[in-house]
Amino acid sequence: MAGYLIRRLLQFAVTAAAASVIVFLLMQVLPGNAAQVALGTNATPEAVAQLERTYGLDRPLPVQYLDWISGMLTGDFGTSYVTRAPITPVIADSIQVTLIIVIASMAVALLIAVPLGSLAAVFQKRTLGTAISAASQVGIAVPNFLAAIILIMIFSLGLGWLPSSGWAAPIEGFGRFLARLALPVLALALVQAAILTRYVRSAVLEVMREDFLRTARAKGLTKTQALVRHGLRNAAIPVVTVAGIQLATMLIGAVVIEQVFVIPGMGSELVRAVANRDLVTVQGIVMVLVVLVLLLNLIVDLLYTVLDPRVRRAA
Amino acid sequence: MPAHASAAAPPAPVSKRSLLEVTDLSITTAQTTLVHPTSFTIAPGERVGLIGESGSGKSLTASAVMGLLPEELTATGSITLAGTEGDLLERSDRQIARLRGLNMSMVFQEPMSALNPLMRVGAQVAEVMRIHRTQSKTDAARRAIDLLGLVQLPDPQATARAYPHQLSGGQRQRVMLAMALANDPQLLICDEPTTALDVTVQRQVLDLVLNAVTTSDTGLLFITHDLAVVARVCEKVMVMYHGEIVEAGATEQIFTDPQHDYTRGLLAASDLTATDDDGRLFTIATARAYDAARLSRARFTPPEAQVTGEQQVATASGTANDPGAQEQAPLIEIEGLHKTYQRTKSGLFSRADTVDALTDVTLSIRAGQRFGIVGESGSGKSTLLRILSGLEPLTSGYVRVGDCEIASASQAQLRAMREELQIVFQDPFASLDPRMQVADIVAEPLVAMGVPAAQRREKVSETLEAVGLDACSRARYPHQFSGGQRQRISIARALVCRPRILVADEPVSALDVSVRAQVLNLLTDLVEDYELTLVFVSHDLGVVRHLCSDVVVMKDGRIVESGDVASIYDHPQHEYTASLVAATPTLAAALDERAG
Amino acid sequence: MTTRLVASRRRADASLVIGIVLIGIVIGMALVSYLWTPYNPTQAMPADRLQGMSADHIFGTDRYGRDTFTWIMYGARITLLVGVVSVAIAALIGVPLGVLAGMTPYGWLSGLIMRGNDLLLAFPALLLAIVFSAVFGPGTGPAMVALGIASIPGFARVARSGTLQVMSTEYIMAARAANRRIGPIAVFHVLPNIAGMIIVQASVAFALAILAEAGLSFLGLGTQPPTPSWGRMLQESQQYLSSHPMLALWPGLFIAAAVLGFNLLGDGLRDRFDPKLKGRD
Repeated sequence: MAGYLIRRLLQFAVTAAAASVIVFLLMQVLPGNAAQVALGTNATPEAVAQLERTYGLDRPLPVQYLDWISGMLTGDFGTSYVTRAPITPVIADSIQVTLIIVIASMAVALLIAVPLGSLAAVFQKRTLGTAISAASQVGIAVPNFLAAIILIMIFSLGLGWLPSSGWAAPIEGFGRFLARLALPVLALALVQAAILTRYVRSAVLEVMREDFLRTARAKGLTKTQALVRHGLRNAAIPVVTVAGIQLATMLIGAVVIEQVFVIPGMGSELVRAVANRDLVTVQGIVMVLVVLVLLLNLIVDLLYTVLDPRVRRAA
Repeated sequence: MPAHASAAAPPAPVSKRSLLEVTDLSITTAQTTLVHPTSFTIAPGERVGLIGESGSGKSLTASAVMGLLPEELTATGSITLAGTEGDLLERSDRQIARLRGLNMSMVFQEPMSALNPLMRVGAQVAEVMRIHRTQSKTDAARRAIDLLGLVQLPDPQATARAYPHQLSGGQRQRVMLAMALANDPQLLICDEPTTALDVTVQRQVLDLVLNAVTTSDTGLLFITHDLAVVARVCEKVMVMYHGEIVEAGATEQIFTDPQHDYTRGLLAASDLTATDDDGRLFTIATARAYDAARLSRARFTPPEAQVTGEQQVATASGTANDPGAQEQAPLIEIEGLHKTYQRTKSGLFSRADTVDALTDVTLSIRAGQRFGIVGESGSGKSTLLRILSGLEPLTSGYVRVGDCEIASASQAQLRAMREELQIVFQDPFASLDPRMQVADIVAEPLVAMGVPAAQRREKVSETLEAVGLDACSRARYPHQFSGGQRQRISIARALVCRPRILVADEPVSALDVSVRAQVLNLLTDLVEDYELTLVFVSHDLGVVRHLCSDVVVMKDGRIVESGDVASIYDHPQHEYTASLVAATPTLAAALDERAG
Repeated sequence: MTTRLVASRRRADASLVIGIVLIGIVIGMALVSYLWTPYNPTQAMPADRLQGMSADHIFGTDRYGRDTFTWIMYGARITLLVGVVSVAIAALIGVPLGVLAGMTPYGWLSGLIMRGNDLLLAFPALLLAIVFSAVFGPGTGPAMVALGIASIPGFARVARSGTLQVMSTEYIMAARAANRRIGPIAVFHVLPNIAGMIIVQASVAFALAILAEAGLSFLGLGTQPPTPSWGRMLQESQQYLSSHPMLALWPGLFIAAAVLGFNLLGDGLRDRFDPKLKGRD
């Protein structure tokens, strides 16, 4: 078990390092360099050279890479060549916003998907099951920004209950915070719930066909009792995996929602940096997102060993 | 709603005589009838066998009693159980659930998947008592351990803490049995409980079941396809065929004086010691000539010799296994063969596990010999085959097939060798590519040899005919054939390039008894016609005895004994062979035991 | 048994039919747009700006007075193009790698492929597409390539697990015993038996690519003006939500219909290819 943990952590570190090389190299693909890009095509060579010296861009690539990496490891993401401001505070602020939205959305999505998916499986051949399946099928096809727009139309423009955009930190008043959190979270969560409902349904269906469920019934449990006592934990294993992968997808999917609702999250910062040709900031934010994705995969793998004694032993 | 709660009600007087009464039970889907109106009764403490081949409806009948039928099936008729009120079929799931595990329990066929993989074994046994509140929480945990001891699991304390995947198939089936017995049910239903187990384990589990039901006077409904097993366990037998009970009666009467043609056919086909005038096994079609009474006569001949290891060292050794007498060099020669597997490396800090699949295997097979390799699962017999056919490298030792030395042979030499040695695989459902037409499947060895298309077509037709398949099967796909027919296709593929050696890896273990006889007869015919050397691998002693002249017995990757079939079977030297022979259920022995 | 099979077969067929109809509509619109559209997509008619549905403009017009239905028809082209190209990239790279990894499960090559797969998984489709647009500039081309690369792991994983499954069967053992070489085994046994899974994966990946492209264009980082794209139509409509909600709903509806179509197709095919999966989604 300890061996597995160490091996898995090692794998995480190696993959993250490889990803950082890829991100770094991608940013060097453009002809010219980051300083040139930042200053635009009509900057004087002197200005470019000046900027290069200031930020050490005239050094060899490996040195620049190591500099960037060691900076990140100590919490310093460098300085934007465009805004001339340190990047770390930008990332630190925006990551909180994004994580709040994404985690809240996943929680809401699971709260909707687990009961609905189980119902859809249990009532597989009846109207209720078919209706839930059809609804989730349609829900999956709706892009989250479309969901956001529809929610805005209904709750902001139509009913006037909630603001259509903006953000407030919890310390600015919990009511304000919740009011601005509600629609973005709902937009992400509804689409996510549709996706998860399908997975929960098929996981439960799968488990309902298991022999041990019949054994449980032979012991004196009804169908429903057998499913609740023996089935759900078994069904949870594939659902946890999917939820982990979806959480990673949502981190990125939140980019679009943040744009719709004008929320200062990682996505908004990323899009702004891309628009400003601010490659150092892009590089930093992308790296943070990549590490978060890898971290989620790691957590899912470790959760697996907790949930499933068969894996525990193999590990 | 518990107005009709039955557990508390006094036993109904109706069921004085019979424990279970099934009247006109029929099971239907929306389109077809799977079980035609069927009636039978089981008295308290009575042991009743329900036999039939796959798809005969025997498992459905048991499921109907337990209220475990799949939703899309409907059961009509009536089922009453002593001590409970009313018709079981009229109960809701909730109402019948109260009886399951308390008044009646069931043990299923698949030991590998029947237990919850995420729950400790002890807790699963204790749960039966907690569901019906027959024990307090602590008592249930304690009794669970007692029960695990009762079914003779080693170290019940530790086993109770184990997860199912840490137990073997036989151990899991014992856990299932412990679970089924926990609340002292009046009725125990066993659905092929030992089919997936090795014979020696099967014997132990059967003894446990028999012991449990006789000591507590539990009624038993025992479902199986294996006549010898049923003869061992049950006093009454019902034969099911196409959803109907075609014959029922006392075990001895059914097995010595069958009235129905199907029963007679089944009996004849499963009796591997009986052959017709041509030396072939009986099939359902030829069963008329079978003399069923021979089994009752066999009773008076002494049972298999109970031999202990040392007693008869001299007698059996050195008859057929002494090929020095023959002048010709053996066709296949294996000497000091070792095979070690490296278990997939599980990381930085774990030991690199090695598993010895084969240890010091030595044997030789002469041209034209019919050679059997017998062993239970994990004995290494399949590994031996793969090495023999050059599909897997060996670790050390000497292996020669024809003039090809496997260990040092080049790929080209191995290919040439494989044209001489062909394999028939175990599972007719898995060994044929589902997306290929039969003609292409059979032609595969020829394609690899570079035989031109026209000639291929001719040879394929010829071979298909030889295995008894008509020409129109050429363009069909495997799923359009039954198990027996598929095994014929598999045999055709092996013979199409006219090999000298035919290796058969458990070719009949997945087949129903009646089909088994046909395929074995076909193999016998082909071996004679094509003058083949046959290497026949099986866990089934009876099949090997019928088909082979010589045999080796394998256990844990070693050959424990070798010799001609008669001496090995009648005078086993090694105690494992003896236990294998003793554990293998045969009708004659079972009937014998009953009489004794 | 049979009833359940029949029922699931019927449902699979319903999925297939609805899926094919929806995809057919999108493909039809894209094809017709090459021959005929009600209006010229780039032709602005300031007099007709922001009209509702009418006989002249069945879906209304946008802020420049361009015909929305014309734009929807043109947008179908980009949607399909992105789907086809990205799925082709992903399948052509992912499937061979996956089959290779599955046929040599313990070799170093397999290890390398699977680690590379893990690495790619760290870059979700939308993120990779944003990075590409930052590096190569926004546009349909970089978007398609990025979405294609990001979909490789999905194909590789499906192909690998399918191959592993096929390679462990007795009929592969039989083929080897019949002296078939590794190449013919891959072509005649493995590929036909995993084709079903690959097609299902392609249809799912197609749907995801449509969603990702729409999102990217919504951010302004995908298809650039003046090429019509559903995602950007949706973005441009955002400031008219209160006054002209239909401007947002039309492109939204078509994105959803296209995605739904491909998802249903995938479902229907999955049940078709594997009757043992009856009742599963």
